[in-house]
Amino acid sequence: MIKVTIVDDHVIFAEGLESIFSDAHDIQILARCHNAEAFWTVMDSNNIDVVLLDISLPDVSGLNLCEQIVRKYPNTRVIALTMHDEPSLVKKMIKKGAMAYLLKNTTKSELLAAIRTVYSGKKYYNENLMQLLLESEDKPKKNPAMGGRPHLTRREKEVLELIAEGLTTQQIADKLFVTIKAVEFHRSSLLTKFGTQNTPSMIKEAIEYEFIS
Amino acid sequence: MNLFRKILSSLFCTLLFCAAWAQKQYPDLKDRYSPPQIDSLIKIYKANNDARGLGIAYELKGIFFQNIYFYSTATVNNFFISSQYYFKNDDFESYYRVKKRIADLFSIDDAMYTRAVDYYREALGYFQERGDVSEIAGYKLDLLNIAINKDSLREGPNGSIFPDVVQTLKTTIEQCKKLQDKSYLTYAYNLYASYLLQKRELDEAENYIDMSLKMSEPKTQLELLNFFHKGLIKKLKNNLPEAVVLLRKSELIAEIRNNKYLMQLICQNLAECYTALNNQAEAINYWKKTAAAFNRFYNSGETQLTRNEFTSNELRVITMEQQLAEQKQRYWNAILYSIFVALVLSGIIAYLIFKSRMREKDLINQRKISALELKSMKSLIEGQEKERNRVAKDLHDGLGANLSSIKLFIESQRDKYDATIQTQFLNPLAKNIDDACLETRSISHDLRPFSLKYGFNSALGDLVKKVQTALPQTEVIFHSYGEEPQIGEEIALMVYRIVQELLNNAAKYAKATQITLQIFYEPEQLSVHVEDDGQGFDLQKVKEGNGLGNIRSRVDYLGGQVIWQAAPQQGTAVILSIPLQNPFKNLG
Repeated sequence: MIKVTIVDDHVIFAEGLESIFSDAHDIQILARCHNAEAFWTVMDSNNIDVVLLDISLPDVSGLNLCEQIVRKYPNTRVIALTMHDEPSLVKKMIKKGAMAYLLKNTTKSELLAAIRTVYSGKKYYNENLMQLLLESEDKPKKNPAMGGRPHLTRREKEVLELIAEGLTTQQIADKLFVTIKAVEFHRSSLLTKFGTQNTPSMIKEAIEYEFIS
Repeated sequence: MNLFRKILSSLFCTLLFCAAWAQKQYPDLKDRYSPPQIDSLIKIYKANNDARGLGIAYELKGIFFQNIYFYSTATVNNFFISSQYYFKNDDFESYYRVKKRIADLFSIDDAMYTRAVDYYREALGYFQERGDVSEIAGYKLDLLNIAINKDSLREGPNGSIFPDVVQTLKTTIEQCKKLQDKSYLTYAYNLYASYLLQKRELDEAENYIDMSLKMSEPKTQLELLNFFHKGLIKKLKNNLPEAVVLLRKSELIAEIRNNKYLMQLICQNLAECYTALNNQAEAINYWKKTAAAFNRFYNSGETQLTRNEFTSNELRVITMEQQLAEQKQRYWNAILYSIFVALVLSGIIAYLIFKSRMREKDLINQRKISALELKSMKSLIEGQEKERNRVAKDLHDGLGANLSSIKLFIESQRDKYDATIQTQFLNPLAKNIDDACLETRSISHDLRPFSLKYGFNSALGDLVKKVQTALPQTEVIFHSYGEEPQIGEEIALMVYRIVQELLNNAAKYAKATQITLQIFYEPEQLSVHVEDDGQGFDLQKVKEGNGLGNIRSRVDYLGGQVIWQAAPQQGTAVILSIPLQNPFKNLG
């Protein structure tokens, strides 16, 4: 028997969720908790296998709660069940130890599959989630300290070329029909991107990466 | 027919005019007048320079619009003009009565209720000076209403209207009893009940509601509130059938009184009750009604316009006062000039002193205006955010969760039906609900970017991904440089909104093939660069349209700088730099 607790502050939803398991004989809903405080009382006096956890809760953030559950009860599996579909939240929740991430409009079969999968100790990632995690895979950061050719915008390239030609800020501004302030902004972002403090070494880097010849 | 009506109405006006002239009788505020009647009254009073008459006429006009449109530009503006005429006439009782009408409307508007508090307090001060016990009790109740029903003012050292809301409420109830004023007592009991309701002391709350309900006149605002609150109590006690009956009663009155604000709350609660009762047809019906009422109250340009117009109206009055002061100054200068002729030496000294004092006053006035501009901008922006936050939360936690519940219901019943019904009926239904969920999430996220709480940069990443999904033809590049520093919640939200607007502009107007968003983090400031290769625009021609003004006012508010680089066919580049310490943080 898999012992499950629902943590969700929306009473109607939690009730509806419980009713879905009425004919799943290997799953028992032990409690419905509407805040973290109530949840810990249940958690500390029972052996809970799986927690269905919402991210937005009245008293704490679901992210923190997830982390605490995993730390305190390493054998308990957490499934995030939420309305939020922002990729950054999904990633953070997985990082905090959630074994599955489902949206609240999930299907019955998926819910059952997820509970059984995480109970057996495996992670449950559905197709949507995989897609999401793959798509938002961090592109390699153009970190100047790490080296690598920085990404420059068209306007930055223009300013860079004119700096290399030895024009003053005023001259560059006149030539590009922009304000001096704008040129200064571009210059400072160029310095950041090449990871240098001054113009000569920036030009040296720029030549190395063949932005200018 | 039309001619006949015109003759009749002019006849009526002549009669009114004669009556007014003969006995100085003014129309009764309790009577209903049509706009043409009121307008001809205004004409007559203007001709006679009758400030009191004009005050009354504009008040009547405001009442007329309030009955039709409830909270609207026309309502608020007419009341405002009326209050100015009463003020001119030194008729302070009427002045505060009309201002109370405005404040009552503002008190329900998340963006304007602080203004309502100012108005009530001003009036309270006036009546306290005059020792008018009955008026004092009334205004205290109005302030308590805001203190109890508008969350943000209830807590926090700066926000609270009364140091101890319950205590004030209790003493005010005693005062109302002493005054033997039935309507105040009805109001007070209702407020106490709604306080108890928030504390979830349901039985006690129901007692007070019943007392209030017994005393309230049929079809009044108070009866409406009482039915609504009693419905809420029953709903919380899980007595749903009774809750539905009570809420439907309040719906009827809200309809009659055209109270759009309460309407949306009533419909939302009804929808929740019906969802819990598994009456899906009515539930969906009421969710639709909720959305419609939401739209009418919040998204209609009308509410927005009301706020903006009113703020600029107030500014105009201050500017007028300043002009008056200048005129006076000129007048004094003339007198001083003759003194100067008579007594040259002392004249010079007096003049110099006076002049410098005047200049000082002038400067102070000017500063007052710009401080007020900034303050009203601040309260407008803050109010909008607060309101968006609330609507988003309601959508997300209310509509969203209920949609999910309906989906769950379908899922739990699914196995009872055979395969054909599943594919032909249940699957499309489930798909519809999924789409609605997606839509709700997306609207709610636009209104209140939830992931912003968990990091600014990653929230921007989500935003970029969303824009990218919506624009498969355009490449959206996002790079950030430097360590993300601690960014205050307010600044983070504002910059997020600006970036959102910039990306939307680039996507919508520029037809770009590539949009680049770059963020440079520094310990003390952050700069945002948004560049696109779209069609650009002529900066000279566009000036502040296109949401540019919107962005500029937000940047001004944050004390930052913004630079636009744009020319036709050359793409657009926008650079912002925002200090991470908000200089206006401590502004009233």
